Amino acid sequence: MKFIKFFHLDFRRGMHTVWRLYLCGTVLFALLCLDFWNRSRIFLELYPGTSRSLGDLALYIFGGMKKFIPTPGAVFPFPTVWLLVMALACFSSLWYPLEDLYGFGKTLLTACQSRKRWYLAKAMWCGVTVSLYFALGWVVLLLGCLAMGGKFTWTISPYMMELMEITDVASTVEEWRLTLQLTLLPWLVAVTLSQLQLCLSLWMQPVLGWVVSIVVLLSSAYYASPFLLGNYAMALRDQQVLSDGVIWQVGVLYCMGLLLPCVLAGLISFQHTDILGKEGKS
Amino acid sequence: MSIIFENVTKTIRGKTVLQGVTLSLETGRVTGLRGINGSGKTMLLRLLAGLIHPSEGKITIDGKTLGKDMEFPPSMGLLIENPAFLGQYTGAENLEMLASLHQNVAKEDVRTLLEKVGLAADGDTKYRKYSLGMKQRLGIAGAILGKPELLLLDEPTNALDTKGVELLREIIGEERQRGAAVVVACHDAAFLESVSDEIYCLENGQLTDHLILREKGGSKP
Repeated sequence: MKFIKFFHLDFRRGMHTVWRLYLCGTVLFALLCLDFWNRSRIFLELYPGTSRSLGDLALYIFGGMKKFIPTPGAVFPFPTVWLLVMALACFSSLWYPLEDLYGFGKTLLTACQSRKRWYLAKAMWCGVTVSLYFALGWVVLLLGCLAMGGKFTWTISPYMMELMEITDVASTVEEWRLTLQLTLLPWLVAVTLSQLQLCLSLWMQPVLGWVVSIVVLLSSAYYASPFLLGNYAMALRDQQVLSDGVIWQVGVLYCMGLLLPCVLAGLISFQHTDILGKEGKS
Repeated sequence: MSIIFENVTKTIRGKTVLQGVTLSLETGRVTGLRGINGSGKTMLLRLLAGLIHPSEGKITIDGKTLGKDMEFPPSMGLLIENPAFLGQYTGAENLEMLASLHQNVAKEDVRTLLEKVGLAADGDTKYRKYSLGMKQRLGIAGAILGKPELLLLDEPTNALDTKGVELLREIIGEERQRGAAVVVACHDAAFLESVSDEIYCLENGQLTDHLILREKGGSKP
């Protein structure tokens, strides 16, 4: 009961700190919809009879990038769209937990009498915050699809592979698998990274935790490796698109396998963390 | 409630901020902590509040070791550093939020507390519109919310005007009467002497003196 009360307080207070980021997220998703609409115009003229779909739009935003093969002279195509979306998702949950600890949260912590409760409430808050960011993103995507007269299907139009610069597809793209790739995996990877950030922020400045997330995402874009978490958040790196791509089930297990130890490590570490003033934090 | 510091040392990043502190605190007594900036007063309060852990030695509360048998003192009111409330909520809402975690605090108690600290008329004003003195008064109200058995006040006279200081003196007296163990860390020597039953002097993290101003029962030594 006390945990629910405590989480409720966190939710109320935390939302006051992230609403501006949610606003930025809304603008970002709206701009990306507009960008997609603009880019797809040319292809629609080249492919008469085709139209835009929700799947096209989602693939454009959450698809990531094709495998990069570093060869002499090859320029790394920076996955701006995907990276912006993922980076902002990780950023949304970055500041509140630790900032709160040096403010009103310290009073609440002593009142609730439990460090475990405090950390679990913050971990839950991070998960909820990232989830709401994605929920908001999907609302904008749905509205964007509606505004551009797109079909509400997951079918990928033929022009999309050209738009995403994919020259060959490994196998037939299964809609259900693509739906999972575009909805579940980016969210799960972002939630996992938010837990990693929370845990790291007990030892270093929160912004450095975010830098770690960015490094994970960028290195995932550069190396198509199953060991780099970000690969699972890119539908274009899935085995059905890329013959030596990643397997989504492994991605789910990878996230779970990282998320739980992160929460546990944070919980244990917070038991021994000295709560100093703002001037004294590491 | 009996609180005992046994040879407590605290080292932070290689720097010893408290060294070999041994003292005891009792209910119904006001203990003052005197010392210049950096002498270790706030660190001692943080240790007692359970916010930081001793590097050596132990703190026991009624025989139970803090940080081992309990995470925080079971009934504690705390005003440490600056009062930190939420600017977007009113003073009353901030206290209500805090009260929701206490089982023994009713909504009406929040109004009574606001009156007690002289904020009855400003209870519905947003905290961000409060002056520094008003913020400090709300911090004091937050600390005494729920009638804690242990009350820790760090520089409670900060930003208070003469009337506010007088009010604080009364509140500390009432808390002592109620039976709370009160610990006050303060620069203001005159104020500290006027409210304390005993004073511990700190210098470079070490206790240098222990003055008893009033014996148990209120008589002067």
